[in-house]
Amino acid sequence: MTSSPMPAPTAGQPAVDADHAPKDAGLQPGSLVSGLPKAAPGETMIAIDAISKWYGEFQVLTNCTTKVAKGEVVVVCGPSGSGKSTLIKCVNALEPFQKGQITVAGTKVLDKSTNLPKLRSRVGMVFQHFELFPHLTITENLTIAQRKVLKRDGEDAKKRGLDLLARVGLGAHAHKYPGQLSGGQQQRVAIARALAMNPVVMLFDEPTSALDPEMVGEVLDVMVELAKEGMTMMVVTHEMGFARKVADRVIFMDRGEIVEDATKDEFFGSPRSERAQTFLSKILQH
Amino acid sequence: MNYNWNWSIFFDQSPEGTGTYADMLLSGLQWTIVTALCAWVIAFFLGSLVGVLRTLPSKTANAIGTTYVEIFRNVPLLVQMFLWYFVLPEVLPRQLGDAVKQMPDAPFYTAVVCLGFFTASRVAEQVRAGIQALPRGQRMAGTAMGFTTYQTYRYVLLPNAYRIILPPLTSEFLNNLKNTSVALTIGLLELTGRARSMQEFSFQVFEAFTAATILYVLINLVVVVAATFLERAVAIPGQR
Repeated sequence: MTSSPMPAPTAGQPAVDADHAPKDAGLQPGSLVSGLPKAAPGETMIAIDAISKWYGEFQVLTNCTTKVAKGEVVVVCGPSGSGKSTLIKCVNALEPFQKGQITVAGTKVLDKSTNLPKLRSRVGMVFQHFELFPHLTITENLTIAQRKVLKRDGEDAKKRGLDLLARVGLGAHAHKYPGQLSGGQQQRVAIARALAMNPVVMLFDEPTSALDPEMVGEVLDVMVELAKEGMTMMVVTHEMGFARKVADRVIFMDRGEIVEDATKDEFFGSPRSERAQTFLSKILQH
Repeated sequence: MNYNWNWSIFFDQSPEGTGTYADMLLSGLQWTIVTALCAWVIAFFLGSLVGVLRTLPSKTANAIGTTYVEIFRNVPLLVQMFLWYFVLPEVLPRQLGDAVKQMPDAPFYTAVVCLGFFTASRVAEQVRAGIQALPRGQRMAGTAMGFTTYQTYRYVLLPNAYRIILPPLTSEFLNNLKNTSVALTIGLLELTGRARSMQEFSFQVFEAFTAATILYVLINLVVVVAATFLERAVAIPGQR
């Protein structure tokens, strides 16, 4: 919590008090993750097994293989066009792939008998451009999928949604519409919206790339907290500071291939491939 | 110009014996409004369905949607009116065709169906444009939350697309209302048809069509004002 850009309110203060609560409280103490199924540590949550993907003739992914264990935080980086966003979109089948297999918490993605909407409802996803639903209030954004997909009772869904909203410090904004919030605030709502579904895995697709620099910190704070609470995360990002802080492993991609798949220390200490070395020297220069 | 102006003609009895000429025009206006509203119900729902078909990933759905739009958009409304009214009953099985011909108010039902199907092709294009104008990530976000395709359209894409296309949809509604006049060719007693009857009975052509013009303008103004209120009512706070 020391990383929070705003002072956390004193312990006795209620989390949400519309009149007196600070407009944007920043990350609040308390758990973001709840109801995670207990499983043996080290269990594989995402297994990506030799997948390849083509857009017509053009091959965007070539024989990519990696694993994400339960509770692990894996950062995927690489130059633009390297296929990193495409790779994580394959995990919840937002992008179809033609060869190989991905298994998420024991369910095969490329299988006719798999109920994809059900699988996706257990995989939280955060997008570069937030993608909150602009015609719904923040509360409705947080509850609609809980009600329509998980068939939760309206009151339960609202309680869970508002609880998470308060945790990301935006309890005072529940009645607003996405267009009335800043980019950083919208992205925190988007994270809360994904968490409201009690996902077993969270995917982040460049969550801070569309943000003004001063708002990157507030979003990363939430992600760091999430990582500390043991959420399994796959994060496409250029934020090497975030990678150094919480990543267990770093995957470096180039031209649709996984060039390097190493522990954080190995990757930042002595990347083996020349391409990764060049990439690192470029983005760490400034 | 040798013309006998007679503005009090509206209060004269019409030779049909059902009231004054004014009553005749107003009953025409009623048919115009009822026909337009019924046709719009078909146009809106069928048009939305066809528009959605054109935005689905399925090639078959796309082909069906495109075929519909290109057929109904590219044949003149007048020709379509004749096809529905004169040709369709002949190509139907004998009994069914006869039943259609003997239907009371056949011109009305034909006009509603014809205009509805015609306008649907235009509404479909608006709906397609509205959906395609949304950021690609919106569909992805809906899908990623676990929504089915139906749910993604119902809760995410369509509510936003309709808001975007409200102004052009208003234009379509106005077109639809004015297009009811084509139905006079199949004998629907709508406003233009009634103005023409008045002119034929009384020879007061200027008065008859001035009245019809004013009534069309007034009713369309009402639509425009209503659409402005609707736009304000559904506007999303925080969006420009």
